[in-house]
Amino acid sequence: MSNSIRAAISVLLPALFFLLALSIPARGFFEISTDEGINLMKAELLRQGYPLYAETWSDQPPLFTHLLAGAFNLVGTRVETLRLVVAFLSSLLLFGAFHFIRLASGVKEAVIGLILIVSLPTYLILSVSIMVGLPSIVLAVLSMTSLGIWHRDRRPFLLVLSAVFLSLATMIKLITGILVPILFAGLLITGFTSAESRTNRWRNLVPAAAWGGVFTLVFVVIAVTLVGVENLPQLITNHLGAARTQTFVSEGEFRLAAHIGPSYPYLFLGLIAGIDALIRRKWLLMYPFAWMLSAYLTMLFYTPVWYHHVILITIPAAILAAEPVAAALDWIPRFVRHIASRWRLSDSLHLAAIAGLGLFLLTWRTPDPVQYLPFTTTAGELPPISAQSGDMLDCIAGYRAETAWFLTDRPMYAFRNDLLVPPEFAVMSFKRVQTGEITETDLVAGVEAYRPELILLSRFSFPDFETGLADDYTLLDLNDAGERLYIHRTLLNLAVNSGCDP
Amino acid sequence: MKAFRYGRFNTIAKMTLTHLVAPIALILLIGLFFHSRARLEFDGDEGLNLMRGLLIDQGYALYDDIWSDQPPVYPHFLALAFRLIGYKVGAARFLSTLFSSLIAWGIFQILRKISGRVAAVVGVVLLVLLPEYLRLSVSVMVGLPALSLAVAALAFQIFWHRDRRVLWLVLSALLLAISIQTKLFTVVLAPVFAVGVILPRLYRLRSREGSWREIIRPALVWGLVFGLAMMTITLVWIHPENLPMLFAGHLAASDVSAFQGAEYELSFRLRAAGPILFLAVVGAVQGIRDRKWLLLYPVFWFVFGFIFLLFLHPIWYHHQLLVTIPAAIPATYALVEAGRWIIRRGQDTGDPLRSPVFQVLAVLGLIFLLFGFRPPDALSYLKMPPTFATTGLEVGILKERLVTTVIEYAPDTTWIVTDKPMIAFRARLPVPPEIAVLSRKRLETGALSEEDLIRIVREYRPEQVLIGRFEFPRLAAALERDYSLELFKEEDFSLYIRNDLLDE
Repeated sequence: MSNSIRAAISVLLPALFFLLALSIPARGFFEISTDEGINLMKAELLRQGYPLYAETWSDQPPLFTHLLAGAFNLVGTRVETLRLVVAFLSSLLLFGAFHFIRLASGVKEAVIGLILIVSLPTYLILSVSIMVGLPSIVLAVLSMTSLGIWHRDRRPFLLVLSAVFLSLATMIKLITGILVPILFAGLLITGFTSAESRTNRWRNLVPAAAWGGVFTLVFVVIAVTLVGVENLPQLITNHLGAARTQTFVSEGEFRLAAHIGPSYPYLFLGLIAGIDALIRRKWLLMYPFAWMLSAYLTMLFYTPVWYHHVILITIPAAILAAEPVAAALDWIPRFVRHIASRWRLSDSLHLAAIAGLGLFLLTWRTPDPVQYLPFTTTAGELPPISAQSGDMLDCIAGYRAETAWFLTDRPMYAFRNDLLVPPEFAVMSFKRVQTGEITETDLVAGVEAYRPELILLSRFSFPDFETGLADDYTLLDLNDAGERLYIHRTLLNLAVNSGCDP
Repeated sequence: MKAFRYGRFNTIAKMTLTHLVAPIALILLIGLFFHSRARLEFDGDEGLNLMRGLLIDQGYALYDDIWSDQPPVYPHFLALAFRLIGYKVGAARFLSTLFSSLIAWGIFQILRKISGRVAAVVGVVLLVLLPEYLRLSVSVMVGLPALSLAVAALAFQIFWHRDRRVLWLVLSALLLAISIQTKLFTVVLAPVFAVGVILPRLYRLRSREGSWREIIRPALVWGLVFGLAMMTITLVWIHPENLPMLFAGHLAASDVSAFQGAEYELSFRLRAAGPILFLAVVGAVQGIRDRKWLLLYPVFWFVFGFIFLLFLHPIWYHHQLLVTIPAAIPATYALVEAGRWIIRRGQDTGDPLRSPVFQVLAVLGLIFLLFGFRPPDALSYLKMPPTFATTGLEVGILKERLVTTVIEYAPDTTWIVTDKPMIAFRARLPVPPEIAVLSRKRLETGALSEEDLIRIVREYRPEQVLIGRFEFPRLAAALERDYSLELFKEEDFSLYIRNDLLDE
């Protein structure tokens, strides 16, 4: 296969995926995850001059917020369009994964690998979710692929590229940092085992040192410029606190076991591929293998684990799985041809017996992406902009002109109405509330300081805080979802439209 | 000399392994992972059987005193177990597990003789996965013990085909007779066995190799032992005049309107076992092609059992084992042969650069990627990790209050009238023998009426009356004067205590 055809496939397939993401109904959902609203609000605040950390509280690294703020200037602030930015990044992941698998196994395996990645549970929906996990993994895959190509042709810029990609990845979400020791160890081992190692020991360690140096440099530069040394604890402490929070530790739904079930076939295939790669000395595949194993172990002991964390384990697993799946797909037609060439009654009986066993032990599994595809009627469990959310949006829109600050635990309502949430409260995540990082007292202080015209509580309940609002605010709209919208009394005199009269 | 001893030891070790591995594995599986102690009852029949055993142990005669529409062997077995261990539900359930392990032994032996050790192991695994098998292995019910004796009889029959020792024939006939006297439905095996004793010799006679004496002798031995055993049990434990009691109820039940409906049909009950039955048909054809004539025993058992169930009405979930247990044998044969075939052909077509292990795992992985794993129902009864913690009465918290109350009045109670004999048994209290078997079948067929119950209450003057399974409005009215009602709402139970007990 010529280089140009390979290159064409490697671009065409991700492009096809982008078209798929473009056409799925889920792109029109009001909010795929509550994290979406939080991420968008942080970016909007940044664009309006409220810097991260110093003003906007955040427990995530800064890069994705800056990326989003940049995207606002480029494509505007429509949520549906912004979701395509993530879909574009997701196609970059497929591009990178294609080249990695091609390098390690071959073009056929690479095509299979891409299908496997797209078929991963939650991959498609996360490809249109404005969340930090997938973009971070995109850069991690690109880093791994760059390093893979460097192993082949040893061009220094690939080494630099790999280090830069990975430090950017960790600056989107720190968890991809688990790849740092893996890639670094890969370089060290390569150095120690290379043929020249006996003649010039130290020269062989130059690539590892260079990679480590560039990584550290970029990491430090971003940490100093975009985070600021004094804000670094903000990135860490809340996550550490969550690991000790009773809710997350004691309840099963926040552990890996609650989410990993549908992904087991991928892990199984990844495991046998990894062992096979060890036996056959396909060292390049040790990168995704080590990634899969260390991600699994990390998530096993990590808490809280959400549904979107699992792809950190399954993406390397799918990359590995390409080879065994290709081998199985190779064998099946060979086997069929072989028995078809001299068919006997007993062959039919044996096939019938195998089918019988299948009937007894197997059940049809609908691949995860199918539920989000345009032709399926039920689009997952995630509702599109429902009548309810739509009414609430309209109701808020009626007060938009008079509103300077909108305090809410669901910033998507603010973002879609071009309103700002006070920066300390932009990230009012489940984790932050559970760890006690934010309390009712903080909210009371926040209302004192910002005097928000609108307050909407949707995800959490703060009974004392809400009772205290009675003097200055009127509870305006209590919809079926239990969302409570408080309007400052100065706004009540305004004759506003919409169907949310007091 | 040393070598001889070692050889002997080796033989013993081998014998132990082939005969004990399957039953012990099954007992361990159930003992460790099936937490049955906290279950009050798996089926209303459990109480009926336990109460029959208790009454026999207390000296009441089956049929003469105790009304029963089931043959006598099982209640007498239970009575024996109670004599040895006491009135414990666990003892009776363990007896069922022992019977179940006898099935595991039989299936292992039969398949080992027909197809080899691999098939024997696969067969036992398939047996455990049969729908309802594990649950019935710990239920105090009559079907599984009867089937276990039938499986053992079949194993001995197959031993006989191998070495023609008369002992095996005697054991086979004896066990089958006991099996039929445990539950009549294994009678479908009698013609299969009889033909199996005659046919192969008849075949040899045609090819002028054997003699008539060779045919008649085993047939005579088998027939004599079988007939004698059947007769002895009938005379000693049933008495001829009670025989109608065993049949009348079953024959009447098929016309009762309450038992009409899809859930009493065979097709409904066999749905979960469908793939196994399909495999059995495949295995039967395969076996005939391979001239595995011994496989015809389970195949014809399966066929006759199926025909029998077609005419039986109503069908309950526990009836299916009559066909699924024999079906498991040809089904295993089909699976093992298919496995050997795919290994052979797979080796021919495998990638020589790859290890076969990798290829097999890759194909399995692909299958599980495309299809989901459907754990057989049987696995839902097993729990990890094993816990030995149970409530004091081992019946679960919900029913505990009820059982405690019945036990509280037990010292002053001679008789308890109840449609839930499990509770009576757990309080070690006897139910009047005529109504120890207060089954749905008996009520629906009209063999027992509400007036009979009222008459029995007048006659026995039970200190407690506990109604929880059926509704008896007229009985409730009749109890009003002399009894106080205590309701256990959550469990839908009405407990009546005789007023003079309350006064004390």
